[in-house]
Amino acid sequence: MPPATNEKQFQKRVRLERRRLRKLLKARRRRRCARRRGSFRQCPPLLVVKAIKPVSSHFELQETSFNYSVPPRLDFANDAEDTLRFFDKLRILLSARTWRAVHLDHSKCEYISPEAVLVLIAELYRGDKFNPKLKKLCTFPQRNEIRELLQQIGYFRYFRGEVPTTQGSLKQHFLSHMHGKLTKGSTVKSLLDHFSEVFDFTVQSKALLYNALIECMNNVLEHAYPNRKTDEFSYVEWWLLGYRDSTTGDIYFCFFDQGECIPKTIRTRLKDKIRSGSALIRQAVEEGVSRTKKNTRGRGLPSLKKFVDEAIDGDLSIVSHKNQCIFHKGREPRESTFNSVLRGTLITWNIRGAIKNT
Amino acid sequence: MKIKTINFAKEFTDCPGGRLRIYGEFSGEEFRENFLRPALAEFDKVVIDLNGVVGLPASFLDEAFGVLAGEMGLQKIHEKMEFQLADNPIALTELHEVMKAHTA
Repeated sequence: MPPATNEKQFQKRVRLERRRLRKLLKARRRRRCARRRGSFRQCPPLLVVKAIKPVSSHFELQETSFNYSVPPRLDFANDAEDTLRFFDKLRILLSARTWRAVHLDHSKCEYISPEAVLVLIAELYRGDKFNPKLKKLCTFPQRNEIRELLQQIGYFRYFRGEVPTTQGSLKQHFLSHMHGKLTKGSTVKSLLDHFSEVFDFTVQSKALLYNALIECMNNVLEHAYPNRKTDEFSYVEWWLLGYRDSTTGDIYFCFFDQGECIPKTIRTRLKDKIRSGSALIRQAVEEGVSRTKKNTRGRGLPSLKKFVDEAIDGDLSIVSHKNQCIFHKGREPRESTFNSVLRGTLITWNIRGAIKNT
Repeated sequence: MKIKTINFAKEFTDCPGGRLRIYGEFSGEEFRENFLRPALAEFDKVVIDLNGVVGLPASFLDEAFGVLAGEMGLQKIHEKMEFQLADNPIALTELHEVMKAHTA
């Protein structure tokens, strides 16, 4: 802006500047006021409820609680778009302090993948941290397998009320999910020791998986939460789950964090800004990319794939923000981009036919 | 010639952690500052026995050995340090790569 040439112009600018500052202060006061009251409803510009009202037929708004139906299929592998949409809306709902209670209805649920349960648990945990007074209630799934799956993973711990009864017909065996704030080698070791009973780990393959999981934890602390101090709805935490399927002989490991997505953390170069998120994930995993641009860094993500490369058959799937990249052993990676957003990064390793005597 | 052998799994841990102390226990920074630096200052040669370790994550190696290689130089590190790791050749290769990257 050119400097003011006369007194009149100068006075006009001063008036404009004062008006701008007044607006800023008013907005800030309004935000503070809303935060103090713990209610966004009294603060029109921050009306979270308004933004999420046209959700879907699954959704029902009440005065102080919300009922949300879990869709029939929650699966990142085959119904990624719907699954991401569900989580996106759940996150928006849980990020409003307006609610006193949340009721999740699982009765229509016909299939839920263990990875989706892990993300669901993480979302509920975050909602709980953000709004500790929020009561969480649920309607149990009608299908016994789903009830059992949720129970084994430890999902019902996050709800009030009784745990459902199950019949023990599940072919998959789950370890209860683990979560933490720090890089913890002993947690990863205990998970691997459990799978050593059924899976013929060579010293090298065990070391590769150990390294991959430790790198994931390290990335959470080092890169995934750059705005941890300013973002109210951000809690530095990782989530880990391991399970095996006795019918197929497959083993799975899932890792989830709710931080910034991989493309955002590594998109520092100008040429990266025009590339798609999934292409960036692929490059980061295959070649190694670091946001620090130092040649000594960027070794974490390539180590995720080494475990799959060492196995006889398997794949690595990474879902981060709107992007998914699946690395199959011996095949070209598959990239996809979705319309809905997963706030965080979900990494899944699947090793096929790995269990002994199947 | 004074030689010191550090049995990593027994004296430090069999499940090493991440890069920095603030990220959790048994980090690369902790190993470098509490074990490597004092040993290198006191002894002419330090032998590090890495056998029996579950894994050696890249960030751990980078912080523990890479940073030291960057400070001392690759030549001096090779003169003063020796690594023993029989069952995991990938980790050994990565260890040397990390040190090379810091001196390049």
